[in-house]
Amino acid sequence: MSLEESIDAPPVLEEHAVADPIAVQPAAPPFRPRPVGWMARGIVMAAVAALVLLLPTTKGAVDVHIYTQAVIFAIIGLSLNVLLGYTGQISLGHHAFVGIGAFTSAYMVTVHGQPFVAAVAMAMVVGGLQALLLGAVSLRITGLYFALVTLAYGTMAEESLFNIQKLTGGSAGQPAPKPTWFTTDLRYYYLCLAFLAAVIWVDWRLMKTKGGRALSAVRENPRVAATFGTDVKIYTLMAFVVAGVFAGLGGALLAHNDTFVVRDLFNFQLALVFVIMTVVGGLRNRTGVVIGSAFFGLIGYFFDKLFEHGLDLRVLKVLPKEYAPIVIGPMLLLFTLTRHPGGMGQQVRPLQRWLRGGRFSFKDTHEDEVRVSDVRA
Amino acid sequence: MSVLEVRGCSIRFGGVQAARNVSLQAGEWEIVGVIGPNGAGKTTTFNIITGFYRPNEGSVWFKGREVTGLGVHERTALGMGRTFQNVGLVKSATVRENFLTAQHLEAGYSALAGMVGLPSTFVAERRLGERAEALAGILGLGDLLDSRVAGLPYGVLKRIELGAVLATDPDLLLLDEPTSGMGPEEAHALGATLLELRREFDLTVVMIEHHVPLVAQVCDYVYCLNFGELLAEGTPDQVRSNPEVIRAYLGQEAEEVLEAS
Amino acid sequence: MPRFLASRSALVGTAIVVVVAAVMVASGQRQALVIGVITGAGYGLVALGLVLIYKSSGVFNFAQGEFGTVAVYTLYGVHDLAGVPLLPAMLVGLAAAAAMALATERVIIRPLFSAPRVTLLVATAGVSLLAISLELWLGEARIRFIQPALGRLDRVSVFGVQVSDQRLLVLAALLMLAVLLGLFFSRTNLGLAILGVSQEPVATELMGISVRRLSSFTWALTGVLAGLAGMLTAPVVGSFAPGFLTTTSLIPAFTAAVLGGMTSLPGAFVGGVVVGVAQSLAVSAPIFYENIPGPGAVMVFVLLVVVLALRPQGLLGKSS
Repeated sequence: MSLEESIDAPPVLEEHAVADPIAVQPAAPPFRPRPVGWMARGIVMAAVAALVLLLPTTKGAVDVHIYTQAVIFAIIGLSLNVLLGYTGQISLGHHAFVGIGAFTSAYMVTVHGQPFVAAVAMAMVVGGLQALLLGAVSLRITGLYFALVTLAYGTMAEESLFNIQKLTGGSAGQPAPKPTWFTTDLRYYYLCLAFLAAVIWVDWRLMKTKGGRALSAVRENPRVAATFGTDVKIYTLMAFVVAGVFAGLGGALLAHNDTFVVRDLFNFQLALVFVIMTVVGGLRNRTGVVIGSAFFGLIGYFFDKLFEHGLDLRVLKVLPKEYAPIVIGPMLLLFTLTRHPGGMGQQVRPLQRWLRGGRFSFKDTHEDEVRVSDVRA
Repeated sequence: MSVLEVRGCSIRFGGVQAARNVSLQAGEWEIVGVIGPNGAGKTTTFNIITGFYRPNEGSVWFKGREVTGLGVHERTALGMGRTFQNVGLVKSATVRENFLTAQHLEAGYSALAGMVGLPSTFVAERRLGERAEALAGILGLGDLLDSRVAGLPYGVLKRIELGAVLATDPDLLLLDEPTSGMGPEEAHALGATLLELRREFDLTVVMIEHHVPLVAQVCDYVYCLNFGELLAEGTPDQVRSNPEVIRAYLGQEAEEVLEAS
Repeated sequence: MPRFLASRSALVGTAIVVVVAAVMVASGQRQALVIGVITGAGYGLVALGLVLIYKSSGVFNFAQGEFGTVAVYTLYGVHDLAGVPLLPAMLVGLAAAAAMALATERVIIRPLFSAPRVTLLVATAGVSLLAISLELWLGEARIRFIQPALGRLDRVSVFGVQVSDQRLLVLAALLMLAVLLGLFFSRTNLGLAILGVSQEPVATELMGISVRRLSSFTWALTGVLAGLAGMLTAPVVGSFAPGFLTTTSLIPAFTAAVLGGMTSLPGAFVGGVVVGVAQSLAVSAPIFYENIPGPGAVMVFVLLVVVLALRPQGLLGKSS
């Protein structure tokens, strides 16, 4: 009898079953909001959309290209989340993926005269390829030792790859002009927003289909994943490639946002900021990662605005805004790891549940633990 | 025709010979028992059969072809399903998600197509969801589909694991101590379940068991292992009354007591 | 792997190093060899701290470099800016490093003790970032210059290479430390207890030793080791900037520790010398530096990957 036929057959176990000593309560009937409830949810969602779409157009705000940076950071955060959150692989060299993507795109446009689309595509391919190489290494070297390797790779990129004169323009940097239909900052912002939407779509579909489920199984219990039919090696490599492609995209967009790429930007500190923004955002939580990454993209400039509006803390004024992420970051990271593992995503969860049609309550239905890697190590 | 054949498999870890020249067979629709004291090499043999270990000598044949060199997931694709002693499930996921994950090979679309979000993948996902629900229905787990596996009682976990293994559409079911933690009535109920499942899903079953009444109730043939070697084989009654087997389980004195009585 | 093969690989590894050294000397790369050995000894010192922490808490301590950088900044502030004489200033530097290590142990390591090791790794990386950010903020993002304590450059020659007094001092200090630590860990009760606690915490407690105190002591000791490494090598390099010891030595030190199998203290030290020589060779041999930018970093990366892929237990570690 096939599975489909058995849908109508009586449950096999119940005929012979003995009651479990600990009975499990069946779920209560599902909650459905009233029409007014749905309208309220719609208004909130529209407000969020309006904020994202229109905030950069308001005057007196931070420069538009900073908002764009926040969007690009969100893409980078999502890419790292695929590795760190979904697959449980640590990557302390993500700045190398992003940086190489940035230089590839700039190089294609400036030195080879390629159009923006081709340059970005190339950056994504290069990003995917390097990630694939590192993924192959990860198959032989696991856990903590692999973290070391990613760090060493990042350092090697910094000192070696980023010094290849032709690719990176050396210390002078490489120009990366904005693409033709999107030469203004505002238009470029919407372009990047569109890319972010595409990345979120792919991430969503990934986790809703067999690929994402395979990654979760591989992360938590590779033996079980194999028993369920998953080729652990192939799916680990796939995760790396996806992460690398997104990181390359982020790097390319970053390059054209600043219209100039300089290698000093991509250093160890940046790698850690990437990890921090993903962990603080909330691992495996798409919304959390986007919010966390955007937060870190904006944070320095945020302080600037506060100072302009009269916040007078002499001590903080000394801190250049570029350093804000690396001061705040570690403190938030350590706080998240020790006290509040769900990160920002956990805060947002009640709201998310409500928006999807559930009841609004502050109680969490599950407890998360930050398992930066659930596997071995 | 035998579904599973283990031919003279041996494996050594460091200085320990965990299995030596183990051979066993399971014919179509048979239920075969594997018994033996703790540390006899039963789970090691299962690991060799399923591909977690590669034997130093010997070979494994499944449905008439040699699978000794194949990986675990490849053997699952051919139709081997296996449960674990400490329950092999993705504990942080829900029951439904486990059943969906176990249908990995039945999905009918590539991972890439899934990521991109082609319309056919939505249809495929719905079908997988229906199969998951059907499976849950058969095993009486319908109410638990959206509960996380981690919090559930041990007996329920065993049922869920059985469901997940069935979701991989196996022809051979390898069960590692399915009744551990169960009392005599539950074990008996499981026995009846196995007989039904064999009938409904055309299964061959090989199971590691300690529960003698269950083995007598359902097994067509039994192998007894000790110290990594095959000690005895035969019908449950033959094996049960084999003095070597008794000695292996109970020790020298017990056999003398039995002889004297 | 059978035992005799394991020791054979170690012999082969050592033989390779000796051959490379001989080649370097013969081809006129003596300068590079000597400098490589001394730099490598510095890496070895940092690696000792890494192995110590790994053996006692199972953690990869990414903050190790910053323990040292903090000592250097403190030394600079106390000696160069405030004029305190050198030796007391160095003691203050060591105290600062030890304090930072203790704080890390108390605030980060203890609460996360049961978390996966990778979480702890990320947490220590966070600590190092915090330290770097504070250095950038308070110390400003510029390079500062530090004078060697001993000025003469040409008093001694080894293999016909001029070696500065400062470098000699560093080498002498490092060798002495290595010997002292070796004795400490094999002869004293405290040293044995530190090594033993990771294997047998319960037994250690039963012997009347507080595991907590031991843990604090171990971290403080590691801080001191890092502080020494920083304060000894900064004058040799001649300058330092935020993140100094992390950027110059952390990855080579980890590579050294890996070469020692992550569990062998002498292995880590010897590993450091190996890394130092390999890196020096890469930087000074024309075939490398003319064709590959940043050859030192590439060499270290390749060394790390090769050792982890081919012989994860390191050159001197035991086969698992």
